[in-house]
Amino acid sequence: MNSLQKHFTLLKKQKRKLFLPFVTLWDPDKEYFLKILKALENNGADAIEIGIPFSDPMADGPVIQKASIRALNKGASLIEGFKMLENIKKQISVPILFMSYYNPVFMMGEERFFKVCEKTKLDGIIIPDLSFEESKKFIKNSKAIDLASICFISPTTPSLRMKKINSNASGFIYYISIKGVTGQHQGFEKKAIEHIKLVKKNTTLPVCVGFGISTAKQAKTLAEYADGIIIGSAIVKIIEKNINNKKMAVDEIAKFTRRIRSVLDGKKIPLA
Amino acid sequence: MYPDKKGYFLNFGGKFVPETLIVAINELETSYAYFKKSKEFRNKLNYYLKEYAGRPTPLYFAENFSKYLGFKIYLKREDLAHTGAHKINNTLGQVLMAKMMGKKRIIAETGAGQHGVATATAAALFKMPCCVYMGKEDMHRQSLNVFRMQLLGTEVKCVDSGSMTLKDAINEAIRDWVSNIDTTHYVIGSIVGPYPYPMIVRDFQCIIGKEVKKQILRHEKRLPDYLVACVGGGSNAMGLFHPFYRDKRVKFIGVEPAGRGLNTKEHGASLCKGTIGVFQGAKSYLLQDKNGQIQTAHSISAGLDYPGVGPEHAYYKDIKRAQYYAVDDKTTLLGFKFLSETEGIIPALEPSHAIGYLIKHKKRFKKLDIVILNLSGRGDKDIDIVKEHLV
Repeated sequence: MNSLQKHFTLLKKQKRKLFLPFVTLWDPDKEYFLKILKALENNGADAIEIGIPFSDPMADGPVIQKASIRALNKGASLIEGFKMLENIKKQISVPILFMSYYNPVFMMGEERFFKVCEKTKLDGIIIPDLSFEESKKFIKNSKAIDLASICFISPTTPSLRMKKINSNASGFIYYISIKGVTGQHQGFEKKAIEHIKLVKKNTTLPVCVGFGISTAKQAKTLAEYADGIIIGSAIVKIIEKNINNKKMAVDEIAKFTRRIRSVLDGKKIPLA
Repeated sequence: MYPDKKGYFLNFGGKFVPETLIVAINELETSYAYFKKSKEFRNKLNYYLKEYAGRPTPLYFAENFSKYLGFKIYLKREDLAHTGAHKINNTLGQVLMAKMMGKKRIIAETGAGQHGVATATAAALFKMPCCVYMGKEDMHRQSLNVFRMQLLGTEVKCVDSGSMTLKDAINEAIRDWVSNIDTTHYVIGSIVGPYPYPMIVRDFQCIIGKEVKKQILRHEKRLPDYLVACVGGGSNAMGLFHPFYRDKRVKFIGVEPAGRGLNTKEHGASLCKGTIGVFQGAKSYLLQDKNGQIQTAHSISAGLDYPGVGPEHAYYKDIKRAQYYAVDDKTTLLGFKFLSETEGIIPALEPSHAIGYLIKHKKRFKKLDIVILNLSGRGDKDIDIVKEHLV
């Protein structure tokens, strides 16, 4: 059983929902990136998704696109991510997932990639453009080293395909709550809930919902039906807004994380 | 025969897309398999290709150019097709198919603007709203085509992310498609992207090679020795090459943009200088760095300014069915000027790469050789750029 599965078992016992925030590697810089990870952990993140920047992020909206450019300009890459992971693991105890487009992984070479994953004890990998069709060998290899390879289900995925994806996946199912790219959206919750119910019916793994969620209210609404909530753009946006006051970014992210945590734990939405 | 069931040309191609797009791509695959066999679709498409787009385009024996080069050269006059380039072959096919599939909206990307204009044209013809994504840099250097699209009733959306050229326009079009998957068909302009696009676009462009085969047999009573075409994404080249795939004695030459030189970073020669990677839905040769980040391409012609190439060309390269060379901006301009002066035909900068190749490497050919060059588009759109460089 990999670390993510263990964590989900624990959460289930405690009847709690998972909160998985997303930040881009080295955003806004190396030093503050670590501080942000700390703030996320200390304020209620159950795991952290670290985005490896890619030059052509086709599934991402403008906020994460801009963060990717910021990170690329600082020299962030998959290899640098792994180099830093050792250090991160010393300071952060929650599971760490990498999100990368497939080409950086392919360029590194799958064999080498898995070796490094094993050595650095990466907990999970999310590759948005590695479709179910192209992922079979990759997932088999990741299972062999207890690396959770997260698979996506979208609003367009038919039921039979959900079952197939579920039997292939490990860790959890990443349910994309909107037809679109990452970023803030409004008014999609009702439809998403119907879909989440359908996904739950056709799958056995925990289901985490991401894409489009930016407010505590949305998180609370969707978490009632899902096992976890993933928020990226809303957090990255805080960094973007406070790019000249990095300490403020850390504080704001801590505050945001506390808000999400408390609504996921069934408390009332605290005042901002 | 490639692509195989998984959408691979041996080691290249595939479907590397986010889950949301998979259903649309699978739907397209099923629909295309149906329409390919549908008499109604084929008759309609053939009607529009003939009566509307002006096919077949001539295969012209370029006597003056031949005399200079010292061997026989024929030009496949795709520049005479409606809208001034081969792109119309693909857009009429795809937009007609989208209409028959019940799609309500068309989107496309464009580099030089030729594919954008051809898509806007087909969308106007088949009464469908159309939106074309174009890099800011390309909108600037191909402003005439921007206006043409607007005249045709298309909304041109400016893309100012990344390098602001073709690859970024494709990213933006994909993002639009993910967001409007139920109503929208994405007309990709070259033999790139996830399967089944490389096959669909190739099949619609194969009319070029099929016509050439008939025409050259009529003119020369034999097949040609060489087929020469420029390669960006590679649709005009593949459209010419593919019908000759089994004619092993017909050699294929693809000409990539060497930009400011293959030893600089400013070129678009993915096959000559790239490495294998996965980009915009398919595995193929790419211009990328050691971390797998896609690099910015450069070419004097916006239409070849792309850091990837169609997976079928990658396959042709690896099995050595085709040979790929690169020609720089300077030689391209020479080709542009030369064809204009000797034949009275102003070519687009894209096929000027192939013309430049023949001029520069004329000694590689023998006196009795018959060479067919795909003149994939006309040069009106490039006049401003050429003026800047030549005057």
